[in-house]
Amino acid sequence: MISSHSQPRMDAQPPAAGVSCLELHDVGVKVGKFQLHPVSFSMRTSEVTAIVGPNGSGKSTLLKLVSGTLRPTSGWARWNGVDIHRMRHRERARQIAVVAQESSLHFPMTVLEYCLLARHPFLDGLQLASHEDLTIVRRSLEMTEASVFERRWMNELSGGERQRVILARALAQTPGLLLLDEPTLNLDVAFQMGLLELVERLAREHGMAVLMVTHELNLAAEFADHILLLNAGVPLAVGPPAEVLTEERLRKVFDSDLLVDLNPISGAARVTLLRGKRSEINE
Amino acid sequence: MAVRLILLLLLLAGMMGVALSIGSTHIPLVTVLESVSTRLTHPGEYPASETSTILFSLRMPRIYLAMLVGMALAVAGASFQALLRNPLADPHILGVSSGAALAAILSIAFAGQWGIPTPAAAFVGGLITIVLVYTLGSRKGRVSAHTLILAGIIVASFFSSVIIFIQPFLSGGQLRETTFWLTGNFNSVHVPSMKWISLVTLTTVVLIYRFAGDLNVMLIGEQEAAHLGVPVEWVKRAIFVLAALLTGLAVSLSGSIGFVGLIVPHIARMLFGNDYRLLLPSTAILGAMLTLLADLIARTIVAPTELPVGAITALAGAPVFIYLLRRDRAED
Repeated sequence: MISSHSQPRMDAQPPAAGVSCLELHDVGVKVGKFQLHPVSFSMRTSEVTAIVGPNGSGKSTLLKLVSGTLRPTSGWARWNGVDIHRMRHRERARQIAVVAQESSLHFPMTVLEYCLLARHPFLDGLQLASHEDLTIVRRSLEMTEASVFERRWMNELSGGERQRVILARALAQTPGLLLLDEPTLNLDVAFQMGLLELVERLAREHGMAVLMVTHELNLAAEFADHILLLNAGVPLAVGPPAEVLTEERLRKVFDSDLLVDLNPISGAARVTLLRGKRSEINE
Repeated sequence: MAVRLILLLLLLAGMMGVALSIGSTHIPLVTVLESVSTRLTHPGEYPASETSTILFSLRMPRIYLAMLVGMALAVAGASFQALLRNPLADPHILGVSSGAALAAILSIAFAGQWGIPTPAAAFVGGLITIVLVYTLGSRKGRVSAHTLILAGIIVASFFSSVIIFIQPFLSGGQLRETTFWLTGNFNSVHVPSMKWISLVTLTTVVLIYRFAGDLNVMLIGEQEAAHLGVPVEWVKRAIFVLAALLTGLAVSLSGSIGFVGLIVPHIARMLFGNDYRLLLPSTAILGAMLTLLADLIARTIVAPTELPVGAITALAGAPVFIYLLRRDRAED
C-alpha cells in the first residue's frame, strides 16, 4: 500500500544502526492531578518503540515530554547526548518530528503548502523555501504515496489521505527521531498495516528512531522492537514485546480476560480479548 | 509575485492622484501631477497658489491619514487572524477600539478638567483595554485564543454600555464629537505629532512582518507550530501587543472604522494566498487603498455634506463579510 523509494535524510548519512540516541533517565512530571512516575529507557537508531497502556495511563504525556512540549519535574531526556529541554526550539524541530492528533485547519491550504511548512526550522526568518526544500518535500510525499494529491486542498482529503500527508510533513523535517501519537487512529485495518510497514522500513533504511503511542497491542507486538507498558502513570515493564506482553500482566492492567499466544505466521505476540468477566479477574 | 505587489503600489499611486484631483474644487489630474512633481523636485519652494493650498494642506494630509489608518487596521486584522487562528477575526474583536472610544468620550465629557487631547486619551484607553483583555484572557502565563476572544467580546460590550450610559449627560456639541469616535472619519488631519505617530505605526508593521514565517506555521495549529520550532507563547504575546498597538493608534487617529481589518486580509488571501511573507505587504497596500477609496466616497457622494467613513466601510463591508461567510461554509 505504501512504499518508500528514496532517502528522507538528504543532509546527512544515515547513522550506523544500533547506536544509542534517545536516553530517558527518571523522567517524571506532575500535570494537575495526574502524575507520571519516573520513566527510564533508551532507544537506538533504526529502532521502533511502542508505548502502550490503558486510557489515562500517561502515554501521551510521556510523548509530550520527549517532544519537548512538556518540561519534566524530575529526571532528564537526552537526544544524542543533548538535553531535549535545553535545545533551542528550531534546533529541536530539526531533529525531532511529531505526528500528533491534529487540530482542525481553518485556513484553506494545499497539501504542498502544508508540507512545505515542515522546512520552517531550516529557514531563516523570512527566507523562502528553496528548490532543495521543495525536492525534500516532494520526496516525502512520494514515500507516503501522497504525491498524487499534492495540489489538492487539505480539507478535501479523507482521513487516510490526511494521515499520509501529515506523515509526509513529519518526514520532510528529515528527523532523526519520529514521534507518533496514535498514528493508526481512524484508519482502516489495511491502511494501519501499510502505515506501520512504512514506518518500520523508514526506521530500518534511514536510521530513524520511531517512538509511538498506540492502543493496538497486536500492531505494537508486530512492529515494535521494544514495548513500554504504562498503567496509571507507572511504568510497569519495558523490553521486547514477548517479555512485556504477558497474559498475567495484561489481564491486570486492562482489567479484562484475555489470551496471549503467538501469531502463527509472524511469531509475534498476539493478544485476544475474551468476552465478559471484567473486575472478577483481580479478585 | 513581486510583480503583483508593484502593480498594487502603482494602482495605489493612481488612486492617490484621483483622490487629490476630486473634491469640492475640481483640480485636473494634469495639474495635480505638475504640482506634485514641482513639490518633489523643489522641496524648498512653496508657490502659495490656491491650488497648492488645497492639494498640500487640505487633501494630502487627509489622504495620508486615511492610508496610514487603513494600513494599520488591515495589518492588525491579518495578525489577529493568525493569532486567533480564525479567518473571521478583526482588530475590533479584542475590544481595543471600544476602550479607545470610551476613553475619548470620557475626555470629551470632562473636557478642560483632564487637559489631555482626546486622541491621546483614546490611545491610552486602547492600551488599558489591551492590558485588561490580556489579563482576562491568559491563565498561568499562557494565552488561549478562545479565552482571548471571549474576554475581548465581554470587555467591548461592557464599554459600549458605559458609553450609552454616559451619552444622555452630554451636550449637543459633545454628542457630535462622540459620533466621530463611534463611526470614524479622517477629519482630524492636523494631528500635531503626525511624524512620530507615522514612525511608530510603520515600525510596528515592520516588527510584525518579522514574524511572517512564524505566523505561517501557526496557521496549522499552536501544537504543530511548536513542533516545527516556533516559540509559540512568545510569538503570540508579541503579535498580540503589536497588533493591539496598531489598532490603538488607528482608532486614536480616526475613530473606530469597521470591516477594514476583516475584509482586506480576505481580499489579499484571494489574490496572494496564505503566505504571510506576501500576505502582510499586500494587506498593507490594499488596506491603504480601501480606506482611501472609502474616504473619497464619504466626502464626495453627498457633497458638500460629508458621511462618516465608518458608515461607508460598514455599508460595503457587511455584504462582503456575509459573502465570505457563506463561501467558507460551502467549503466545509
